[in-house]
Amino acid sequence: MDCQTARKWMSPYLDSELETAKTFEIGEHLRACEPCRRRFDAERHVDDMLRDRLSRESMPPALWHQLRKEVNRSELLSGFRIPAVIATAAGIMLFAVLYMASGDRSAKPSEVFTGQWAHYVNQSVPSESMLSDAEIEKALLDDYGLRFSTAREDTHRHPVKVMGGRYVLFGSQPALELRVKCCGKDAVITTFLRSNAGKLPRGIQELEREAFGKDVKRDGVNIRVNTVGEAEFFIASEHYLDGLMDAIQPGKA
Amino acid sequence: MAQRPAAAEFLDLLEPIRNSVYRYAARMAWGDDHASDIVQEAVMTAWREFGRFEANTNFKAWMFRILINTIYRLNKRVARHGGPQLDEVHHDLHATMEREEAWSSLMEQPERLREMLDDRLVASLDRLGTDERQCLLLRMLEGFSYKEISAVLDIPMGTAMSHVHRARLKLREELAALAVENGLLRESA
Repeated sequence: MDCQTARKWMSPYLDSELETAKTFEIGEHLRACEPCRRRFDAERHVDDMLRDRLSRESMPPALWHQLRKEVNRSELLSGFRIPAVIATAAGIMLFAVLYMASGDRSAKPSEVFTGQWAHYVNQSVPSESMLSDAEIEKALLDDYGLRFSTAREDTHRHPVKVMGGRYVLFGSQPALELRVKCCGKDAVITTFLRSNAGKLPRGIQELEREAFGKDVKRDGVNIRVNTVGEAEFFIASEHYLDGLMDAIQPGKA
Repeated sequence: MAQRPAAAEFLDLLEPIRNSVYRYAARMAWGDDHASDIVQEAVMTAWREFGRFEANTNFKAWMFRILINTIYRLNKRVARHGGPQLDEVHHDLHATMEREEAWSSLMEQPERLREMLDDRLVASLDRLGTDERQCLLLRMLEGFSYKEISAVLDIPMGTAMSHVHRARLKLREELAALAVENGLLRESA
């Protein structure tokens, strides 16, 4: 092999992309030809320098944290596989849990909930939840200034009144909004539902027709969603979904 | 048994390559400060499309395809930062050979060169043409094979190989010129 041919193949040789026979031929040439060997070493040095320099760049930890948070949140926002009624009920329960568990019951919850469309995601089905309890607590504290505990030992039952509800789209994301009253505080709970090309899923449309203004039983859960009206639930925070199923007693404080 | 949530699977696959994704975005962005925007958009696009990713295939290649498409799309919106691209490699064989000799001598003191050219090296890389820069980064920094580069960029394998080769030649020429500027190398060496 002559020098010109060897140099022609030097780049793929450096990248270990040549077939065995050609690799062997070039290797032999480099052993015998000092100028070509020095040229090869020079090429390798440039690669090493660049690799060394660029490898120092890494994703800023804050960006990685943000991406993790957004991915986790968007999965929760999409309401993965959670039936609408359960999502609704669980959203209510989340509010109750949040309210009860918050360290300051007077100031922060009312600041967050009153008069605002507070966006909450269903965290109430452990098998669907992507965030650890600690991450949920941290996210709520960071985003809303809410202290929130996921401690399961709290068996206090807490009444939440559903004053009204509607289905809305946030962009293309369907959500169920409930206006509730809890311990004299007004609140809106928004539970996001799975998007279906920007349209409300058929099941939700059916629920809307069925549940607006009257009691409906779905998946063993009684629910009534009124634009102006009252449906009163007892919420237990001891167990998430099971506790919710057991505890909901429509129409009874 | 509860199905493992998709987000955990997605993040597990993304975590080991997150620095690669960021580095590549930083070098292909129209400005360093836009790398985060690119990465954010690419990652969220990948997450939305994750249902289409075939398990046990090359996640890094799949992610880079999305990243590169995102860069193309976003770069169209904003003019890439200015500055001339590196000149074509000249083909004066005698001059090239002389320069190679000098370059090889220079490489006998790589630490000194490295120290002096550290930032200039990256600036030179940024001035490569887009095709050459992306092929070199994918090959040299990210370890993609020519075949994988061909698949990721949707170009023939020979073209990928040629871009890598030309990128190296241009960089070497540029670095030799920088070394002359910095007094590390005499032009007539």
